[in-house]
Amino acid sequence: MQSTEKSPLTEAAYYILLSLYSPLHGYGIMQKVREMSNDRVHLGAGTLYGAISTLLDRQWIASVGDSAVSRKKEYIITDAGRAAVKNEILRLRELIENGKRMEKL
Amino acid sequence: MKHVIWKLCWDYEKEERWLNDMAAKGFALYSYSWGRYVFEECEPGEYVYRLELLKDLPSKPESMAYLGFLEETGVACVATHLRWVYLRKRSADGPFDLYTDTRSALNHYQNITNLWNVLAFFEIVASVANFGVGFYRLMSGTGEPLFNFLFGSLFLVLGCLFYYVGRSPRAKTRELSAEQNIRE
Repeated sequence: MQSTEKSPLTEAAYYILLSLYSPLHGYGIMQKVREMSNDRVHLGAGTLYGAISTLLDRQWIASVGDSAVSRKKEYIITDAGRAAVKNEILRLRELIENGKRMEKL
Repeated sequence: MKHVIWKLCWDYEKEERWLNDMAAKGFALYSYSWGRYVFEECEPGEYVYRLELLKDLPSKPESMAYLGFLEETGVACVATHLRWVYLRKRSADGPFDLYTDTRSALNHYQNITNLWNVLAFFEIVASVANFGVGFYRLMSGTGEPLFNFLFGSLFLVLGCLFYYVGRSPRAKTRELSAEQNIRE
């Protein structure tokens, strides 16, 4: 499937991006995402690893610091990553507004 | 104190359940090699175990990077066997699920299904080849077909066994593929 700027992000990718507006390492991302989602979203380590690899490839996030100095790698969102988040917010807003209208919420 | 148990496991889910039962009783696996499980004593329920099939051997850089990442999240790799890894996490550190969305879980079960399918396929090929040679020898009278039939049967049984062992990941793969049509 051709992935475009307009196709939906996974919940994991969206929350990982949101958690990285300040630098965090893998375990920090898990905790931050749990916190942000009021304990709803628990990212499995395997799921998180796969998502981080792809986000790094896409350059939506970047590694920070020298990983040789501190063993734990930290990541941070890039401008391209923030653009993806903004696109996703627009998409989600559309979903919510249409849903609300039909359900008269 | 060390406890050694020799056991042959075909079904990784049963094996995982058994290791978790042992951990619940206060025996934590810390080494495994070819059917030899070594346990050390632990607080009952101190650890949760998971088995995972990696895409590469654990000694490959890609696998080492992944295992290093797991370690940062509190998951230790206590033993490896071919492409399988035996992982554990302290239960106090929260739930231990490696894959928490449909896509990555599907990928995981697909890998395991493929392993058993490939093994089953090679056994069946070996079986057919042996029966073929056996029948040829029988018909042409050029040799003793008995061993070909014996090995042919053995490979056939193994092939069926491997296919049978793959039924659980195969069912999960099907279920998750359907789920993926409507959910992440």
